Amino acid sequence: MEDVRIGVFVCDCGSNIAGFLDVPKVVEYAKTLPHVVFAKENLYSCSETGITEIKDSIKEHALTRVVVASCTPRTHEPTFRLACEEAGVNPFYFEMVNIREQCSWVHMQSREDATNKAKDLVRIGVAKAALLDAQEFIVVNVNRKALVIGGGIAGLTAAIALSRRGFEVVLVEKEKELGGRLNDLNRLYPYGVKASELIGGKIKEATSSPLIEIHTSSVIKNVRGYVGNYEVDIETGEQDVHVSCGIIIVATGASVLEPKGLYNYNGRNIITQVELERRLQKGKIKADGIVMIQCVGARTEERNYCSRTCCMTAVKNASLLKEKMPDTKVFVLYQDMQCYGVEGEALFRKAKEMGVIFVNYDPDNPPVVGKKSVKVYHQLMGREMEIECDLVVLSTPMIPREDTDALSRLLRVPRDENGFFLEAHVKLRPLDFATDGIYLCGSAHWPADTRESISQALGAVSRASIHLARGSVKVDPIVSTLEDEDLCKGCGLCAALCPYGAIEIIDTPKGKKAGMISVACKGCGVCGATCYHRAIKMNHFTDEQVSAQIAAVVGK
Amino acid sequence: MILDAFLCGIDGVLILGCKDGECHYVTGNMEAKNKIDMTSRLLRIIGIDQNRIYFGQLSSAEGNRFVELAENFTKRIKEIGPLGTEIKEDKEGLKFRLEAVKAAVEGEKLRWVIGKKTEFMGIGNKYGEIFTRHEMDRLLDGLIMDEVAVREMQLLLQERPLSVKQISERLKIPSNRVLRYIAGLRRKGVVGLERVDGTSPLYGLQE
Repeated sequence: MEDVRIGVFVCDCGSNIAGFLDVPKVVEYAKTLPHVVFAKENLYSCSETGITEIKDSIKEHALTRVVVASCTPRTHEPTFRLACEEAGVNPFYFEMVNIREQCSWVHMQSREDATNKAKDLVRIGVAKAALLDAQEFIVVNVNRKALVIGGGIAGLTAAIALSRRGFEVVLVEKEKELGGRLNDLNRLYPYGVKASELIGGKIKEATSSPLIEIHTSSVIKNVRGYVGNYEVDIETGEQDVHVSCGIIIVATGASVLEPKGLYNYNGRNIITQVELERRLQKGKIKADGIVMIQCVGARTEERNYCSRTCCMTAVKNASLLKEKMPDTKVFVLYQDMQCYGVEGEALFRKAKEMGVIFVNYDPDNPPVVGKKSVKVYHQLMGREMEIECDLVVLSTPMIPREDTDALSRLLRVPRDENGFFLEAHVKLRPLDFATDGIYLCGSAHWPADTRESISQALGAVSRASIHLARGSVKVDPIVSTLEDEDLCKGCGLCAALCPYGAIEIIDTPKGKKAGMISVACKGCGVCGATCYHRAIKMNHFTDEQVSAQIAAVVGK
Repeated sequence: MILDAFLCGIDGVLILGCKDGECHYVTGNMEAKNKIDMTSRLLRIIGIDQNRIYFGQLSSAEGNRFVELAENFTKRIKEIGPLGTEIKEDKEGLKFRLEAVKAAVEGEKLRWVIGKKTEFMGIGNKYGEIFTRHEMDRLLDGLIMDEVAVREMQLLLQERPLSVKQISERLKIPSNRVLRYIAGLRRKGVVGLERVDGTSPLYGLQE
């Protein structure tokens, strides 16, 4: 075994650490630990001076491992790794010990205990440092072609944006025609733009772009690969098409709930908002009284979410009807109105001014639709009212498309409790999937209106463009590796549990084995913790390293 | 790793993870929860207080809750006392039992069951049968009891070949159960008939 020479640097962090524990004592203690040949106190380890001290000490004392006891690795781990690299030590021969957030800051009242805890933490860090392995960064080339699944407003926007940046795009649409939901809509809030004009323009640009290859009446049949190198089979009805691409954008949209059995829905005089939009497109509507009912089949036990867009749809359509037929009475029966944003509020106010009547109903005592009227209990007046009408419009929620489940399995990406696709992080990565190189936009994620779908599509394109423009992906080598191929029996449990699709079972001359796709791996360790043949190793968090740390907890 | 800690003489292991659905690694906290649940069941089988393991779920913004969890856990462990006070075993006996548990959690059978737990309880097994929590727990407890006993037997047989009666006495397991386990291990070729001592056959580990 090579000579392990560990250097320990204990940071004062001004008074942040030195003010609450005895740093010189910790330094003296570090010198007594196995393999430690040098230990030093720094005023600020991360400062220019501190870094120089570390680099000089590496050379002077021929250090092969470096431990810095200071703050959280979140702040300066990259700084110290770089310092090691510049001084000729592999950056992964570095270990950081947190004696600030996890010690001095939380034990300000007890100097002696804090000092002892810092000693413990340094001992644990040194135990790991002695067993560290050198690592190299992983670099993979990225295929600069993109695949967009779904040819509605989100998918078309994404495909066009990508093509304008000069990337080749393959667009796959399940239906015969491009356009998606917008084909059924009349005018769009807030500015009353005709849906057909907006979507028509997009379709025209997409179909005339030489960079966009469009497959309609086509579905995804098979997906293999990982970020930068996806291999996708598309079933087109005629001949299957194979596409190699670097990234995938999912823009499959949503369906709208058909309210079968709800409020005597019949599709003739009791219709949905979508059916109303189609009639408005044709301009054929005659009615003296119209009642819209909100939250039909939404915010129920079965479907407890709010579809967000239906309130504004009702406000928009009620205003349009009132504009066309000022003498027609228009009622909107609602639980809560969701009219977010400046324009939404303004439209809501305008609808009221125009004479649309909004009546709040209690979900426990919902409206009753009769032959020529709707009965509703008016909560403010405290009595039931009967509204005469010849058209009832039901606002139903968007629901996940039926094939969402199948697609989520093909792409190995998760869905939420309602069946919509689930993003990697609600705030930090809202348009990414947890799996690298796959992105999400539009109503496939959550009911979104046209504006939101467009901005999400542009956002997803911008995220995807990072990989496409760079042409390569560089990832931390803190990933799982198949350390011993002979031990692996190809049972597939690790592949089944991997949340990132980073393991596939491959045929090798030695039989079935786990194939680790390092670039797709996030280093979560589920595979390593599940392999009962001990064939999988977690780089930088090996069993030996962690066991040594545990032993060091008690081994004073 | 948890068992390594106990084998090192640590009295309690507190594991903290994010809340359900908030794991940075998507499903990591669920997997951890399943594994930790199983490990505490295993400890209970060998007579160790299962409160020595605790899986707490909180977000990184809940400093007060962290302090509360850590303090309560420390208090609870102090009440239970040093590892092993709750069982009638000496240090060697305790180590033996913990080694058997460690072998069980590292073994194929339990790792498959735990690995498939979420799937079985969510979308069902190969035949589409969905397991309720109760069914899953019962299945687990049965499996765990067998696994620990089998691992203990294997550890015991590492020393020297023994008869069913001897194993039964050493492990305090009824001889009919020992016989059943021996039969299973013989089928797999792990254990074989070593020699016959008088009228009782002695079994040993196969190479």
